Amino acid sequence: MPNHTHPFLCDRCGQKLPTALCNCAGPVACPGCGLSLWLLVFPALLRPVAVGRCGEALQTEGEAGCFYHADRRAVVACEECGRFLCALCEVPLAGRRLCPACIAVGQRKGSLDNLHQHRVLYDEVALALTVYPAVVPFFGWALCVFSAPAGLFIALRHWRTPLSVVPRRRWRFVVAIVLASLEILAGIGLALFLVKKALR
Amino acid sequence: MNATYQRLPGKGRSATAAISTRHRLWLGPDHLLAVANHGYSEEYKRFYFKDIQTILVRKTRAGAIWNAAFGAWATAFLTLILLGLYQSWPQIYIVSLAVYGIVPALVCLAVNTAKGPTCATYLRTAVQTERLYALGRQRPARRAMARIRQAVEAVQGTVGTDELEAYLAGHGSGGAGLGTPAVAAGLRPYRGHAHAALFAILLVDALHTCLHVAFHSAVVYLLGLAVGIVMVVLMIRALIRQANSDLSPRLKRLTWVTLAYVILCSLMGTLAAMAFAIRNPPRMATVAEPLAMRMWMVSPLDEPMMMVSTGISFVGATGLGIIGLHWVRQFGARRPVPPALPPPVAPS
Repeated sequence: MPNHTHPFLCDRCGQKLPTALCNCAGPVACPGCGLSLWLLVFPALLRPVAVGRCGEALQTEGEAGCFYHADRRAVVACEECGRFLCALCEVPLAGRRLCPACIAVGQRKGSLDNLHQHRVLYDEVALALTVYPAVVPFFGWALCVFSAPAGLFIALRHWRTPLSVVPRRRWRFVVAIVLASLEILAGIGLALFLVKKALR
Repeated sequence: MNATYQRLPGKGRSATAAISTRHRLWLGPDHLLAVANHGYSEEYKRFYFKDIQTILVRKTRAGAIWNAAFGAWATAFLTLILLGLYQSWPQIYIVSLAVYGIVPALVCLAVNTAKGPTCATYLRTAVQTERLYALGRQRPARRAMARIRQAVEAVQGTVGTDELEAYLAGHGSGGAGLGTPAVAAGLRPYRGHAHAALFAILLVDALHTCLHVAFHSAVVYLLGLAVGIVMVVLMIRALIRQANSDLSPRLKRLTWVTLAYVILCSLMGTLAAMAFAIRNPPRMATVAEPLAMRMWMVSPLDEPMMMVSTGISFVGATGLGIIGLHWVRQFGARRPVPPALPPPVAPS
């Protein structure tokens, strides 16, 4: 793990890396141990950490105050709900200025793309339910009685559910629907065959 | 479908508690998106271009170690096949050993070699240093780094050498000089007790190997099993203790080498037992005779595979044990002595 306090130390031998080895076009060798490494440094490292603003107190009567801090001067309105916000409450997100409440609601409802941290891949679930039991002979085939309808239900129920924040095609859903249908038909056919045989 | 993300070269895996996680990197309009796919769900981490301070890519030995492991695996099975051919084993055994032993090893070796050298990539912001598992091979990491660099410099610009020099002059080095290993923030101080115990048990194992050659009896065999179990426990303890500790890198590497040695010895022992079982079927057809009972009755000097396995085990255990204990002693001697406590103030 690189040294968080000093990024210019080789984490194998601890030798300080000369600045000439930073921002090269490709990997270079550490002068201490010869380890091949490539270090890119950007201006953000040299920038001092910005101190958070805490909101200015109201100076004159008639000034708009923050919705959450009545004694603080409002500097901006939330672009989602329109509430006035002080410097402390204002949260910049993806080029917009929002209030904490709208961010919480957006995260809960999934309407703010930049706050998505977790997604369930229903297409993988549907495909697994239809494929894995089918490849296991006997026991798996018996399990298909339950897994095939479950896979079909999940595929149809979540067809329109956003799958991933990155581009992802829905071919898994299509394969799951086709396989589940075939398995259900095969199960019905087998059941009819057994009933016919039993009735003879 | 979100068309604003562009997939970057490189994909990697990391071991999590339950299953293996696949990692990929995507380039967004104003951030880098790290996607961790756990099979049926994904997790996302965003690194905004304006916040990225440094990115470090350094070569690792993981690929070479895997190649060595696959090579050892193939060599072990090849040795067994050659032994079988020499001793005219049934053809089905030879073919099975080749199909289930050598072919998978060679395939893994070829795939690992084709993927190229391994590397570790770290991205640093003001509040975190994150490893990018998606960039675990040097070739795709270089291609991805070029695109990430372009995107970040489009937002932040570039930093000049003079500014870097001024930053380093003002930042200081935390007391580390040239050639002196710096203790990074957050590393746990550790004196190496678990490692000393591990290397000591290796020497005990070497001693047991000598006993086993001289006196092959059930007691010695069971003693060897006990030593083996203790060695595995101490190995796990040492690996856990050395994580995030200030133990010297060479001792950490030696511990991993010891793990590889233990795995290799286990594999050799298994192959030797297989060879022994094939050549020495149970004498009593009606009662199942445990393989272990038959094995301790045989001297390692009488079985070629066991002789090779015993020799490697003795040399490896002795070498690793002596080197390890020496380095642990050196590491303990180099640690700074904590300052003496001031004398207690006498009550007035």
